[in-house]
Amino acid sequence: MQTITFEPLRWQDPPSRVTIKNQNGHSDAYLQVTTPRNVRAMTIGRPVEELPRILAILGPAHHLAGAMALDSLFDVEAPEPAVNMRRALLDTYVFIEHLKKIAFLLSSKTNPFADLRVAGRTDRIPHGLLDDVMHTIALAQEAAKILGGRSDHPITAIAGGISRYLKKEAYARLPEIAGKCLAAATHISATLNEIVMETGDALPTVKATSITAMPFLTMANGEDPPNTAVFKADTGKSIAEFPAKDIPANIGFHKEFWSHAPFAYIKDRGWPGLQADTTEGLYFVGPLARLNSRQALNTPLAEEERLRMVSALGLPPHVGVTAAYWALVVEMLQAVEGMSEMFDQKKFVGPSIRTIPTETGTEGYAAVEAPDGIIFHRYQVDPLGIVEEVDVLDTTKQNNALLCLLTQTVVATCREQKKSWKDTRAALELSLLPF
Amino acid sequence: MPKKKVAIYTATGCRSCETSILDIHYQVQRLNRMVDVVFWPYVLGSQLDDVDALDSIDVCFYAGAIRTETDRRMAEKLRDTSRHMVALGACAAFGGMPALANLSVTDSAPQEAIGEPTDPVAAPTPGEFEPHVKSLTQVVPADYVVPGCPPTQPLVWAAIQALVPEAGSDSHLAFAFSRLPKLVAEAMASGVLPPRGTIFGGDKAVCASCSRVKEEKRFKTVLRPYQKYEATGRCLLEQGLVCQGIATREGCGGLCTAEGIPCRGCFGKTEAVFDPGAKMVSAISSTFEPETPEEIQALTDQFIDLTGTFYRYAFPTQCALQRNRSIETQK
Repeated sequence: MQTITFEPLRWQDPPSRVTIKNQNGHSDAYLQVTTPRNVRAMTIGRPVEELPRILAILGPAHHLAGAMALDSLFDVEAPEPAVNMRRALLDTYVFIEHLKKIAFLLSSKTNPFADLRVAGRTDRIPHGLLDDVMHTIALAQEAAKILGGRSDHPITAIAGGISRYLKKEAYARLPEIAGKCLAAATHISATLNEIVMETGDALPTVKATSITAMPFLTMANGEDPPNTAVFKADTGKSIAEFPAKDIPANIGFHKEFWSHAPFAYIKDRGWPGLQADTTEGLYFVGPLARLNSRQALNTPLAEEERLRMVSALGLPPHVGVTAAYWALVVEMLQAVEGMSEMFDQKKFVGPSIRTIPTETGTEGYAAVEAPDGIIFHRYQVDPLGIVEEVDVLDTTKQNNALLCLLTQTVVATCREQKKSWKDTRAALELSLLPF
Repeated sequence: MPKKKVAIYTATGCRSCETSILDIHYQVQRLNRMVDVVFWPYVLGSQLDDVDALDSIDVCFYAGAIRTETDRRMAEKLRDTSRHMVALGACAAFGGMPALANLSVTDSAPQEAIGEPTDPVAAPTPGEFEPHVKSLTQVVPADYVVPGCPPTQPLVWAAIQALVPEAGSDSHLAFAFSRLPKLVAEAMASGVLPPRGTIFGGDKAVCASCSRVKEEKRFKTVLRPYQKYEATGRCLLEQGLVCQGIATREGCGGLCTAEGIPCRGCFGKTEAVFDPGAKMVSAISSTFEPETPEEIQALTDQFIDLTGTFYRYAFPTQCALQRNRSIETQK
């Protein structure tokens, strides 16, 4: 038996590897998360108010989910300026995360760090586009720092609101950043449309690649604040709708001996196994799931982009990897339009920025549509507010089945096409990136 | 003159330290002129075995804690190949937040690792865990430390400039002279390497650069961060909130405290402090004046999870009891 290992996979967070067992012309491919974060061990025994900060290491959206779970635990409502600031911060992170993936896509054939100026020479990617992308990310990170205190591990979202008002100069700077990001995003999406999306020329490796059709989980469309989760079948038909607090009751976890990361599945349907022909019990989350789930978007540029996608690829639900990349572009525009709307002094001022809790409950929860998909936090505490039990549903567990099946598909296709192992790895990395 | 060869690697942690390097933004072009990034799995797709083919690396930035057998193997390999090893971020330098798992009685390894084999012959193994989470500095010697969770962009850039010698710009030198130890700033100015063991942070405590107003160091009660809000700009500790600025190395510029959030020590302890937890207990207790055993008991009851709070980022390396138990290779 021949064993091939790609370790680690480029752009994957958390770090992952693929092991391929090759025997008698048949290949079994395994996607393995190599460094799981032991959230439970890190958080049990901690004062619950510290969790938004600790769990920020899973991603900035987990910081926000943590603060919202504290609101629920302490039974307090964040004042409107704080709610707006959190929403603005989430939009900013969606924008940054999607743009970062777009930067990785554009530099996939090059060394982005060393060849930033010359990437255009080997592709159809215009000279300077990567520069524009990186500089736009930098601008958005400045906004994240203003709103969240730090650009990568934000700190300002706390129980009952936000830790402080913005400084006076921030009120002038934020709209300026939003304006520049909007202009850059419009330019970037137009260029991507021309060279990547509609023709697919810059994505030959993954143009024909699709995920295995399976249900998807999102928050309900149009609800503000979103508080209902929806499972939809791969046809787009609703399977189940339930309050966000019941997410854990609707999801089961399967453990495989070869994987540190468990596989989330639809509990009612049972674990179907990791097989492409029985996926009714599996599901996935993320930008493509959200786009498949929604009828229309409420911001003009994003909706225009979505319609362009529908015109090119047909009506949703989509399963193509190209569609997954297109979903990133649509959501990038939606996020920057959200930033433009929210980065307004009037949204961030008011008589209060936080509500001081007066009593401690026993359980708090929150669900957030994070850049990579829906996430869920639930904390159970003792009377002193010390964490006794914690459930953190992240996108790694939820998309584990999808990514493992996609890995098998890509490897099988590459073997059929007699691609080199190097090209197989490149195809894998590019296929997994948008999820 | 050939460019310096740089490697960047993250073990167990998050991607924030690597992102800090990507976040030097407008300096990327200048970095390109100074270095060849020869190994960077996350961004370049370098494979772990690629290190074997490298003759030498000038500077290796190693982020993340040592939790898995692979983390340790890569630390050893990169140490062997690199002239200068930099512990980048709190996890590599001190153990970081992943090391909070060491406090757990039941969870020395992630629970997700257990399960029934479906096909034990064909399937690969998931990888082995170390018994406890360690810092890079507990496994191999590190020449330099860039602390922070994550390190701030100016500090990352200062470290790059100092270790890949190039006369710095006026603004970066000004930053170096205002925030970094004198020896580092002088090295940056003259284009020589800072002394081995340099920590790219300040010499003093966070309080020295915190923008909050200190009035009197006495406070009557200990409050949890969610119980208090005072928009006065007054010292958080004096408001009754446990803030670790007095025991923590400065360099961040009081980033968290400026936002009304107490310091939790991601830059590690200052040189003058032996054990940050002991320092905090001593500092806080000296500000109370309880007169009866009942008052003392009532006060102590207000302190919770001292270990998880005072050693949030540095449990394996800076908790004196733990440190004596687990040091392996720091010789």
